[in-house]
Amino acid sequence: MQFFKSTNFNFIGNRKKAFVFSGILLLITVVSLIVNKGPNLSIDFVGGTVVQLKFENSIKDDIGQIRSVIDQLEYGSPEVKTIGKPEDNEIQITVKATESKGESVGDNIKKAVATNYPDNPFELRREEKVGPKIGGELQQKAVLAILLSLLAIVIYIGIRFHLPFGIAAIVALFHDVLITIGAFAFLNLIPNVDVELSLPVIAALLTIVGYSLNDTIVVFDRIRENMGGSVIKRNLEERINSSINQCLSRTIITSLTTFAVVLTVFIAFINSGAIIKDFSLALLVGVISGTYSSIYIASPILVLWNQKWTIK
Amino acid sequence: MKRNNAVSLLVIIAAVALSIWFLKDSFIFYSKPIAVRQEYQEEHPNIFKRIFNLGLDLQGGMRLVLEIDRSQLNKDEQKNVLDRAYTIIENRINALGVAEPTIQKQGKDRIIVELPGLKNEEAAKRVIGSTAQLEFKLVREPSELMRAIRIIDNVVSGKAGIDSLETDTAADTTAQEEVESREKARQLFEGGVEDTAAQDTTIAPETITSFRSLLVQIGEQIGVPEKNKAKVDKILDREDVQNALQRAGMGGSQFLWGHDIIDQGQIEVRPLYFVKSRPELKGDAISDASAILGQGGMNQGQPLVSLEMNRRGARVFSRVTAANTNKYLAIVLDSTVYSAPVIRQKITQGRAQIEGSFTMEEAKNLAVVLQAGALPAPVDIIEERTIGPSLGQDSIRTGALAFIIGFALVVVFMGIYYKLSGVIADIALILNLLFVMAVMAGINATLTLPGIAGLILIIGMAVDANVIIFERIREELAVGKTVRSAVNAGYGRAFLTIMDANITTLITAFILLWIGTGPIKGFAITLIFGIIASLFTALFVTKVIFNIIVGSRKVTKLSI
Repeated sequence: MQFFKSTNFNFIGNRKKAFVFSGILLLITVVSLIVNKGPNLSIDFVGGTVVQLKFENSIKDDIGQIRSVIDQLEYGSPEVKTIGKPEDNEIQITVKATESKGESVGDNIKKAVATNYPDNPFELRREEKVGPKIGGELQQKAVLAILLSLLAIVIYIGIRFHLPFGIAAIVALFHDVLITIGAFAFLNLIPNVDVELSLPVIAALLTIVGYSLNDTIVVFDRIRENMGGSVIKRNLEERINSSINQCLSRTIITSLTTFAVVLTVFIAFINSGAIIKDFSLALLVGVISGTYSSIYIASPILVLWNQKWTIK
Repeated sequence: MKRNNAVSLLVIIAAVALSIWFLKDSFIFYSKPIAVRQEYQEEHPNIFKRIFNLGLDLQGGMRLVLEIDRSQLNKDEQKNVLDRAYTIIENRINALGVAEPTIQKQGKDRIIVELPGLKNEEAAKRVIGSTAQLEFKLVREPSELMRAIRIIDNVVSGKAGIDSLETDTAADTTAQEEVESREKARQLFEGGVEDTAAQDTTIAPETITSFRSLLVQIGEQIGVPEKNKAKVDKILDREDVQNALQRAGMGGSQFLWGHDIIDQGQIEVRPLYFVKSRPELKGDAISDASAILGQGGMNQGQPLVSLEMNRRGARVFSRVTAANTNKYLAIVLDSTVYSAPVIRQKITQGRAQIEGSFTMEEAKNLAVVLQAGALPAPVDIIEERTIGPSLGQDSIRTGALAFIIGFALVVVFMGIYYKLSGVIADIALILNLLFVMAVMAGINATLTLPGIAGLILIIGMAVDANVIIFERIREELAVGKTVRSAVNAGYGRAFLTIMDANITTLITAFILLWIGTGPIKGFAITLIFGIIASLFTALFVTKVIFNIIVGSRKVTKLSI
């Protein structure tokens, strides 16, 4: 079985369309981020308390009331939402506070809910508290991690290939990371959907960086091979295009298998409150974007670079 | 060639055998129902060192990040503060009796505690995070208390400027006047209970014009109805109030809440103590602590904590008690007064008791904390993550299901798309998973929920190396090469590409490992082993299988 025998799609010739398409996506990213007032950061980064409770009986009609119970504790504007299927009777309460007068906010929330619902006992599913200081540190660490891995990669590719390859790869990676963050911001604008940038999502972003790079390098390697090591001034565009076509079968198959398994995880966890849902969503967006960017971003940049400075 | 194949095959078989041996214990342990595992674990105390563990997000449990508050330490006390805190926390956790806890130091002043499968997380939090700053502080004379109340009252009613002068002179008043003022204060309190009870609970703090009106008298001491507690806290925290007390020469004193609530008729009152800030004696004077049942008197049958002091402690205690007979000595734990007995006589043997309305378990926990010693400095819980056991089990179930479906999808697809060669890639995939799990068991690594996701992701990505190779082989076959040379060329040309692609992924995985904590670390570890194992299986194992197929007979067609 073979999806593509020998293809000759004009990928590079369509680069302008691709740049416009990416430009629109990035514009949506920026607009979504502005409307959303920045990325929706989880308590991992801004500090706060999350309490996830599973009730014995239905709480379907009580969400508003639970919210007002939490409101009375005066921990800023609380966020109360149901998790999973309605029959799970599960809710998640998020507040920005972690401590008040030396008492744990999480304990106070549990106490307040228990007092107001004496006939509907609950079980603690998850409770997380991140102090504001540690949240700030984690924020710095996450940004540092992404920048560091990009730097390490540019150095590695710069040594193994040429600097322009490294830079083209990095631009593609930035593209993928931004699109994924943008997708999160965009999804947040849809009512009843909420996704957050949490630590696992940052892990997913780094994995996307690795995956997208994997994809880019396979194409780059083919380009290098087809350049034959000699000084190429002419026909680079054509050669890059045929390199992408030669790798197309592999690109599609690997993307398919990876996409399929990530989709499985996403569907499996979409209804659970687990953070893994956002994690696999990020991977899902990243796999698509990573595949696209190695064809339509990284490779065309090599062409652009060559037009200006000539890649040796 | 043939001999080479035999050696390679032996290497693979040995690796598989070794992996199975490493995984044996994990398989035995995790195939048991959860209820039986505890028992098995007791029979095989070293089991946890031979299996891969489940992260807190999968088995439930609590993770705490504690940070030492160095603000109150002088330079000398700063030394080894982390090591000392670590030892004490370790002792406390051991006394708690949690199976397989992990305690790690992080950076200069952090300690990470992980308690898997914990049932009573609140008690554990109290015991671990409790600073256990046991202190013995002298309670201020009632006259001084009254003066402090007057000063605060003046600040609250907005007459601070004038009255702080008045109170300054008041500091020089004779004993006669003090007695008078005490008498006046007492009169003011008369009926205070009813007054406060009648008060509207919803008044905003800024409308409070009198501090006194929030208090009630308990003997010579004062207390605060529970509903007024927050308001009193707000007033006492006010900067102008603090400054006024400072100016009046009371900077060395402080207000501390009592631990027990006193039931005064209709309302619950919490005592408020006015004590000297500087402790007479600290927790390091304690050599032993135990929970006992009170003997005789009011404490008959009531759990309390009995303290025994070391020699230095006993000496200081004897001096303090001798110098302060008939005064009250507050026993303060973590800034809460547990009891404030009156000193009747000099106590030389270095024994004391902490009374309070404890349950036996509370008294025991308190004794554990005191016995392990006081932390050298207060610690704050800056991060806390608790996963209930039921959520953990749900996650495992969902994760396993996703894993099986994802795995099946890839295996079936590869078989259909590349036929026999796809099956060879599938064998490599299965071995890949086997090796990853074996390494994880071998190094005692922890499998987390993101780790499971990582494994699933590896399944999707691990076939990539074989896809690259197979596509190459197809290309070579398409230009008319023989099967053997097509296979060799495919592997040869794909090798560098595969290495480059995987090394860059490894770089990001190592950065993840470096910055990540908890589940993220688990994900990074899984990813790293997955990549290394997939390099071995996709490049080496499949090559050996191909060699055997291609080399054994004259093959003219390859199923790919």
